[in-house]
Amino acid sequence: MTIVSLPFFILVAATVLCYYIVPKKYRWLVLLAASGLFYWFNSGILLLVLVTTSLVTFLIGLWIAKIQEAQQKHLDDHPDLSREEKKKEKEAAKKRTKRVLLLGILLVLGALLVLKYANFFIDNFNSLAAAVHAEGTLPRLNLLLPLGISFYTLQAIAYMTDVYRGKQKADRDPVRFLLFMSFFPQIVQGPIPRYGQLASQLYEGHEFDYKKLTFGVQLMLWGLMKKIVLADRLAMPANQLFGHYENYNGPILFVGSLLYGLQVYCDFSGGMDIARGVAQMLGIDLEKNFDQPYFASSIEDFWRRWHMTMGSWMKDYVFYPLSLSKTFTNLGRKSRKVFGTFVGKRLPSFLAMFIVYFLVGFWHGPNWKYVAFGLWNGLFIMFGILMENVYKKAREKCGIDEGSISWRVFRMVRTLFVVTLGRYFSRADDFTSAVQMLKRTFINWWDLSFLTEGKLLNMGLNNANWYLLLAMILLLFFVDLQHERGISFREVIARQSLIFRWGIYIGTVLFLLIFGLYGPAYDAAAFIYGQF
Amino acid sequence: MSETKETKTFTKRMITKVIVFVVLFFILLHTIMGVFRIDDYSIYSRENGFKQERENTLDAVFIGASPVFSFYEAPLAWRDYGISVFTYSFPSLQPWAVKYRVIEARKTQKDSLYIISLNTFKRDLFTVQVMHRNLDYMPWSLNKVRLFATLVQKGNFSPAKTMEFLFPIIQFHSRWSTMTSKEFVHPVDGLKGAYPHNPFLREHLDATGMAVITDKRAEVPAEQRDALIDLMDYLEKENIRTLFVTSPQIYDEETAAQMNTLNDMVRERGFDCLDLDGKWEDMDIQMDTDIHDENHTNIHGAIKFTKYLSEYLISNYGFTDKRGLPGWESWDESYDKFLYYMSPYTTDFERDHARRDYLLEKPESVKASIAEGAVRLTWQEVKDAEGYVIYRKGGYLGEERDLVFIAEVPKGLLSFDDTVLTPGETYRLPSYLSVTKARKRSMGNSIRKQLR
Repeated sequence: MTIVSLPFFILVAATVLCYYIVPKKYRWLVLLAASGLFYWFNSGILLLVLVTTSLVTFLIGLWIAKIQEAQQKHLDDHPDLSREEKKKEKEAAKKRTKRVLLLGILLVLGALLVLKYANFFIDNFNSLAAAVHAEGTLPRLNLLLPLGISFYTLQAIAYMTDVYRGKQKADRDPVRFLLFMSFFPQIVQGPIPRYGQLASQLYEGHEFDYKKLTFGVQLMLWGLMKKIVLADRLAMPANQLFGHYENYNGPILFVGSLLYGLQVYCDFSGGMDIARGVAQMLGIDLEKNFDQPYFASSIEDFWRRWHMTMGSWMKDYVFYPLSLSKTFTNLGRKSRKVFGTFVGKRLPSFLAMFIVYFLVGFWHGPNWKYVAFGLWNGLFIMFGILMENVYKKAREKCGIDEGSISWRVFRMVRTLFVVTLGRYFSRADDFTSAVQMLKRTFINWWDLSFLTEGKLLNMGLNNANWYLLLAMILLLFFVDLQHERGISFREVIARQSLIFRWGIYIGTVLFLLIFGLYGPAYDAAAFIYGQF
Repeated sequence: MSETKETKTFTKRMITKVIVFVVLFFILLHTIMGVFRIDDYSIYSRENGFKQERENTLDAVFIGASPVFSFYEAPLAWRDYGISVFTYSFPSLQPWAVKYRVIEARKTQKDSLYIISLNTFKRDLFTVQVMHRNLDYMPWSLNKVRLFATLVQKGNFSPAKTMEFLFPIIQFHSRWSTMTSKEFVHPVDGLKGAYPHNPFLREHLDATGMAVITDKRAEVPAEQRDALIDLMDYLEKENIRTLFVTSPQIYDEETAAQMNTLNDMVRERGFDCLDLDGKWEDMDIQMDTDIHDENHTNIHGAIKFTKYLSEYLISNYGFTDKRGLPGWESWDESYDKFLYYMSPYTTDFERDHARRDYLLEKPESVKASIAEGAVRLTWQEVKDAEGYVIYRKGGYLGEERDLVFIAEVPKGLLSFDDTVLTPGETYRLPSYLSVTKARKRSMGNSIRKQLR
């Protein structure tokens, strides 16, 4: 049951119906039942991994809270303690909670590392052993990957850390907490929620809100449009070009990567729209995960707009803890002495950034190509920071107006160019293929004959499908441009007459039924981010 | 209090809106789904052409899989004998589907003889294509849902696959980019179930020595046997006049023996049974020229089989000649249409042998002019005519009515005033003129005139 399948829509319809029928205080149970069903239908017995992770996370949160409460009680019971003694008590408690937090992280992260990355480590170990001519190899493990594990692991770590930091009170109800961990619209591919933002919304019973319901449906339809009309159609030429790159040279490979980039965007953001749309129908607001990333003016800006909840997770739970840690502060001091103020000041944050982008890449999958993908982006960001002053001077010398449209478009195109080259790493079969493709792109880089020789028609799409694709890309661009300008299409539609609104709804559904790539005639691609 | 009233009004309005929206949506969806189905318009034509027949008028309804319309061509039977036997048959018809096809046909043709092709029960095949052929063009009704449920259960299809059979758009929407205007508007071909597929008409297999004839009996696979029993139970319960026919086909010995068993089963239950298995010579079907493949004849074989079965039906069931009678114009036309398809592959003799004792020429130059309070019909003399019969088709524009007999005029008179009209009112007066000679009639010629 993918989130673009008929059973999913039936589940959504039944959930929405039941949700508003049952008394408010039991509504969260409807969500829990729907989430359980959804996960069971998708992963069967692997539901137990999710339940176990939730239970571990819940217990760790509770354990941390108990230590904190005991310490607070101790302080309250002993008001006569000196400041030094209080500090000591607090530090001791913090140490204990830290140990518990580390245990929790180790457990949930351990499950992810074993289930998703064990074979990666085994393969690398075997390669290394072969390189040094060591005898024997470790056997690969035959493990099943639970759906959404990469997402709910980060969710669990965020919750435990927030409780540890005192930003969040620990949940006292393990069953309700299971709902927070398993809420079905977002379990497959996010957005990665924070407890403070989502849990209370899930637990409280929402009033029926017609506007929210219609807005949710609209968002869902738009997400479906992006996924089954655009993304799956884009996948055909992208798969052909990446799968048989050795048959091509020149800019056609870049076009392939461009199409793949669009595919991932439509696929992932489409999935987000469906998830957010379904949640909205239930009166729940999920966090936004995309903010028109292709309008980004720099790689840094791109990552602020792309998979936003993971970006903020990395910032809150990796980047800041690292760059503000004692080790990094000391490193900064030392590096300033060695490399001077300009570089030395930036070195600790660059190191933290390097780790972040390494992890971003590694999180995407157990393959070095993903690590290269992460580092490609991280290195460009660091390079940009280092060259900031040089760029500034160059702009001033050339008399470039930074507010001008031409400059903004140039920056957008430049960002798109770098991001597209980076996609070679995430999409190619492996790191070597990505490098080969990059090389081939710049052989005959001026050769645009693919536009006239009909090569594009040998990639699974006929003329009519290419025209449809182009029209839909233009529509997507137009819609995103309006969003960039702060115009909400849903508000615009809501203001229209009944006939127009109904026309939009019915027209969109019929459009999806005809032009969507689904059913046995197509090998519909699963959501790309569902694999991560 | 007023707030509650307002809430109630709002809820009522909302419910009404939801209902209207859903109805509107499904109307449009149904329209769209009518386009995206299996690309086989002969099924569409057979399904819809059958529904267009006037209620309870057909002599017989011939039900079965593709052998039915490859062996028996209804337009030829009409041309030669004036009997109306509609081949309400479908390629790859499932044995389990036969009962539901009888039920469907009986919605409009209750009194007909039901001829069931026993060859349909010789195999039990469930593929995606078979399912679509059985279901896609069948109009929505409880009967269709039952057929769907039976086939899905018997075919052991997964629930995910099942949806595709109910809503073929799931399978066929991918055709949008290669569609032509034909997909949106397909007129019914008017061939009464005949199949104008070129290779079926044209190609031949030299099947000399391939036919196996045996007296042996062999066990029929359970599914086929059960499907036949299920059908016979239904026919018996509803007391339906039925004839089971076995067309001669080329089988291996095992299948030939199974066909014998199927015939035994039918006979034992007391149904009429015409077993033509192996009787190629009785029908003068030539094994080297008249066979298309193991299961089908080509047009030459079809002409011979049609003649044989038609004569059997006339002598055993008393079907009468209806050629030239009012109300059967579409059957007259069906031969003209079929002739267009069969002409390139048939001899002059095959095309015209029945015309030896066929009818007079149609009256030509039929004209209508408005006289005082009447419509005057005029026509040209027809050679050998002994008289002329005039019918009127009443009713206003767009309304279909049966022809009404007005008058019969002797030869020599070449005009007639239709006076039973009220001046001042608008009439549509499609009249129909037919020529008589002894008991024979020509196919008529019609004319329409509007009188104010």
